Amino acid sequence: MGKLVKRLMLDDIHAIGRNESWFSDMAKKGLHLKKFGRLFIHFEKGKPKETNYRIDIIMKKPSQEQLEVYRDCGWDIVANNGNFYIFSADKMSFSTELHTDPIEQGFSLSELNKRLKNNLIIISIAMLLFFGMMFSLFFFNEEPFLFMIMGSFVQQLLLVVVECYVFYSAIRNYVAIRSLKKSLLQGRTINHNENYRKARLTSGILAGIFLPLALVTIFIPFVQITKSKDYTLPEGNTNLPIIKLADIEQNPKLMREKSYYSKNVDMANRVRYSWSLLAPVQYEIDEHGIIDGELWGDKSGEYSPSITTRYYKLTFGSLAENITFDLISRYVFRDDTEIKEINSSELDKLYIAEDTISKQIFAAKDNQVFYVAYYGNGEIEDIIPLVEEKLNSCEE
Amino acid sequence: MSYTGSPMTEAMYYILLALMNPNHGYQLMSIIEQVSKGRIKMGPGTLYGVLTRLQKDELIVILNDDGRRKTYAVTEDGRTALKAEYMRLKDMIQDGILVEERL
Repeated sequence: MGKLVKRLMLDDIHAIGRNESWFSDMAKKGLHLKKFGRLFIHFEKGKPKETNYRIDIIMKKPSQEQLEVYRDCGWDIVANNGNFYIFSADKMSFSTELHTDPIEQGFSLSELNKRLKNNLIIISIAMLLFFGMMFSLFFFNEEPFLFMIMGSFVQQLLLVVVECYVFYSAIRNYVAIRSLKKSLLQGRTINHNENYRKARLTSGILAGIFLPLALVTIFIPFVQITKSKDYTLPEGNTNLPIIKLADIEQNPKLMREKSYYSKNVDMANRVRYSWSLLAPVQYEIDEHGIIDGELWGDKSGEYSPSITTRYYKLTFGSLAENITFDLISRYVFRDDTEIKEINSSELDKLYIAEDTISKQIFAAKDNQVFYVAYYGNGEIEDIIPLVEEKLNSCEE
Repeated sequence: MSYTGSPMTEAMYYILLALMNPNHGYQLMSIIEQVSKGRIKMGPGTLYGVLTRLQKDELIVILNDDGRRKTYAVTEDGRTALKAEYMRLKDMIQDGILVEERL
C-alpha cells in the first residue's frame, strides 16, 4: 500500500459533480481516493491513472449482491461515509455509466432532500433561540461592559461565529441537493467534469477563517482555567495592585483578621487572579484586619477594618470608562448614596461614593480600572492619593 | 413518494416489465438489454435506485432472499400500474399514427 496523503475536504461533498471532477484530477496526479470524512479526505500515493469517480447517494446500505453488480459494470466501491458512496472505474474499461436515467436519479434524492430540509429547519430554530439568548445576555444585562470582560463573553461571541458557520453549511448542503435534484428531474445529467477550483478556493478561505476560530473557542476556557488562581494575600509588601489596610490605618497594632480556609486559602485575605481576552489581568483582593484594644465608633465591637480591591488591565483602553460606570452600577447599592466625580490630574476618571458604612473609589487610567471598597475609619481623601500612586506604578 | 400513475420513466417501465418473471437484480440488466434489443444499457446505480423505489411503493416485492441474492417480483399493484402505462403508451402510439403517414 502506498503512502496516505491527507487533504482538507473544503468543498461540500453534496456538490457531487465538482468533487468527482476533483477526485479524477487527483488520480491523474497519482493520488487515489481512499476514504473521506467531514473534514479530511485521504488519498493513496500511486501511479497516475485516468479514473472516473462517481458519488452515489444510497439511503439503504447496499447489499453485497448490489456491489457485485456495480463491480461487474466496472465500478468499484472506494469509500463510504454515511449515505455517500464513492465508486471508481478505469476510464477505459467501464461498461455503463453508473446512472443512466437522470430523472430516476433525481427521485433517489427525494429522501435526502427532505432530511436536509428538516435539518435546516431544526438548525434555524436552534439558531434563533441561540441568538435570542445571546442578545438578551448582553443587552438585558445591567452591566454589559463588565459582563464583556468577565468569564466567557468572547468565547460566546466566537461561538456565535462558529454557529453561523454551521448554519451556513446546513444551508449550503440543502441548496446543493435541492438544485441537483431539480436539475436531474429536468433530465439534465450531472456534469462529472465541473470546475471545482473556485468553489474549493472560496470554501478554503471560509474554512481558514472558521476552523481556527472554532479551535480558539475550544481553547479559551482551558487558558482561563489554567491562568486563574487563588492564594492567600501575603503579609508585608507585595507588587500586587492593591491598597493595603496598613497604608490607610497607619497603626502598628493592626493585625490580620483570619477567616475560614478553603483549599488552603484564607477567604478573608484572598487574592483571586483571572484572565480573559479583553482583560488579561484581573485581580480581586480582600483584606481584613483588626486592631487590638480599639473599638468601632458605636462600641459594637473591636475595630476591624476591611478592604476589597478590584483591578482590571484591559486589552482596549477605550473600554475603561464604561467598565468604571458598570462597577459603580454594580457596587453602589443604595439609591441615596451620592456619587461624586473628583478631578484628578493623575487619572482619567475618578469617582467616589461614601455612605455610613463604606467608602468606595472608582478610578480609570489609560487601560486600567481600579475599584476600592473600604470599611473602616480612614478618610477617603487619604485613600485617593494611594490609588493615584498605585495606578501610576502599575502602568510602569 | 408513492407512485401516482404519472408517466413512468423508461427505467421503471422496463424493470416492471422484466419482473413479470421473478428475477435477480443481477440478471435484470442483461434481460432489459435483450428485450430492448440493445437500445437500453441500464446503469447499476439506476437499476438499484429504481428497485429501491418500486419496493417502497409496493409495486414489487422481494420473493426470496437467500442472503446472497434477492429475487424480485412484480406485485398486483405493479401489474396494474404497468398495464395502465402500457395502455397509455399504446394510446400515444395510436394517436401519433399521423406521424408515420406524414413523415
